[in-house]
Amino acid sequence: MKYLSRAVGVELLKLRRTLALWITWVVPVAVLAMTTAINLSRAPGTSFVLDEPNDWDSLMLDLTLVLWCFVVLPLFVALEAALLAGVDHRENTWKHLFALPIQRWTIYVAKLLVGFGLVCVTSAVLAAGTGLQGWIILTFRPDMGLSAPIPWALILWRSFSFVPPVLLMLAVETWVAVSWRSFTVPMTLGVSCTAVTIMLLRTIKNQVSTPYGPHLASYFPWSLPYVVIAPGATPNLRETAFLVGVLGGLMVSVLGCWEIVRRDVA
Amino acid sequence: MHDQTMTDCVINTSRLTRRFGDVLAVDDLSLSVPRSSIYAFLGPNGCGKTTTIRMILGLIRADQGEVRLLGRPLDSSSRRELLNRVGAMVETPSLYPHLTGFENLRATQQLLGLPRSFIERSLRIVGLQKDAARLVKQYSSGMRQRLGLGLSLLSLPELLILDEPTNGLDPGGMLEMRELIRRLPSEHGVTVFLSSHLLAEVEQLATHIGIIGQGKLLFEGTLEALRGRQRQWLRIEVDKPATANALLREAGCALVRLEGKAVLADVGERENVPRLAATLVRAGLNLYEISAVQVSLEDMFLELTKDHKMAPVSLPVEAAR
Repeated sequence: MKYLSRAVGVELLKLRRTLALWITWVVPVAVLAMTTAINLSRAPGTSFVLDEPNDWDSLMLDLTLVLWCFVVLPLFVALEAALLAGVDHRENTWKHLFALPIQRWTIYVAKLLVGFGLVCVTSAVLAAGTGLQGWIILTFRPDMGLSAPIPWALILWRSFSFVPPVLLMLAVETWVAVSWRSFTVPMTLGVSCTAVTIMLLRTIKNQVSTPYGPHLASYFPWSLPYVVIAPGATPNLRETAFLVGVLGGLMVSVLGCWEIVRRDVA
Repeated sequence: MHDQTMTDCVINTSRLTRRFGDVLAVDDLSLSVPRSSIYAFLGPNGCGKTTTIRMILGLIRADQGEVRLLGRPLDSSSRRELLNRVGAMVETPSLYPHLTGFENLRATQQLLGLPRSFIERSLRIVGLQKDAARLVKQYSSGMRQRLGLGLSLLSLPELLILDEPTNGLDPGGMLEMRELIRRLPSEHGVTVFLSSHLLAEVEQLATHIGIIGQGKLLFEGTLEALRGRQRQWLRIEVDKPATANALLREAGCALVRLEGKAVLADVGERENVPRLAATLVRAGLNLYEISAVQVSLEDMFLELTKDHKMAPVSLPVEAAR
């Protein structure tokens, strides 16, 4: 365990002065700023009590978290995985790391853990920003009927409930990013799969009619976070997506470790 | 070299072979690197030096053969323990340009769980204390190379493996690096195994030499032993160099070249010298000077690798007075 904690510490050290740290707060702040602006510009008398039982649920699920899980998170995970691996691809520091008397898998697992940690940080920023967004609406748009006080427990639950199934997407992206030196490979994978996700998730919203769409969405790594929070998803779909994300993520992580331990380092 | 016991050697490879597709990169290579030596592993680009080093470090697997480090076979069970006693710089230094020199060393120190004081010691050895707080992307090539060496020396290993350590350095940087490497065995008890294609560099540094061509070991031994294998070269200063040239060729010299008023000739065995001198005198030539030529390592290297289609044979140019 101490070797793994050392490797995690080194991964964090390597993130200093990198884009990977900046985007962890810049991206959720940008999304929150946009959704705050949209909410503030709504027509007078717009109610937050939509199809969700709670007005704060509506605030989060109507815009911020949908946009986040639908598009931004898959791209964020692809970018983070590429940046984390890129730190070692840049000057091919793999050969130095793998010639050290340490277990190779610790380097790989450390990258996964740090990647997952960065996703958690974005969720924390989203939660804090949602509270701030609610306070701004309460202060400047009381006509929208958002109820006080700010329900922090609900906000935290919503902001973190989709994080565990991110593991599968992250594990696949990390494996690809570590395996290919080119930055474009994990990014192309992320963008392509986000496009597929958009098609699959429209089936959950019944915008596209196909009997297998929602089922496929609960198995497709890039759509799992949204399925877990999707207003239109059944409890069964949500549960499947959660389990696939977590168990599949663990399985792909183990496979990635196995492969990297055996790999020749060029 | 092969009669040395394995305990005297820090690296032993036995019939090491590695193939990439149809290309045989390393072919049945058996090396023995004595303790406390500076062993230069020489060969032209693409001859299998880096592949050999990667196999020695366990970065790639051998198709056949065995690597022994510090007297023990390198395998999955011994890998960590043995690599604990080995430092390495493979090709370019493995650095993070966005971190400072100190932070680069800190990353490895932290991974290995070494005391923090080792960073200072390493910086002192490579002379980078003053620049430790600067970002590596602001370093010159020489400083990067020294920091790379510092990284590999962090745990003060018994064996240091350096792949082309002077690559990309200007003459000043090469000199600095050479002096740094030269001090390691005597001051820190480190055995140095370094690969290079810069033969003149190695000649001034190495105690032992291994020459590889197309993946095969062509020579292994001391520099003196290599020189002992060479043929006798003479520099003959005469009044009619062109005539001397023709006469020496007729007399059976393998290679002859004019150099100003002198002739450079490969005379084969030392016993041929009086006969050739007599031939020139009998032909009426005035001999002003006959001197043995100091054959540089580069010439020996090219001579050895010529059959492996690596490079043309060149004549020696440095005369020993």
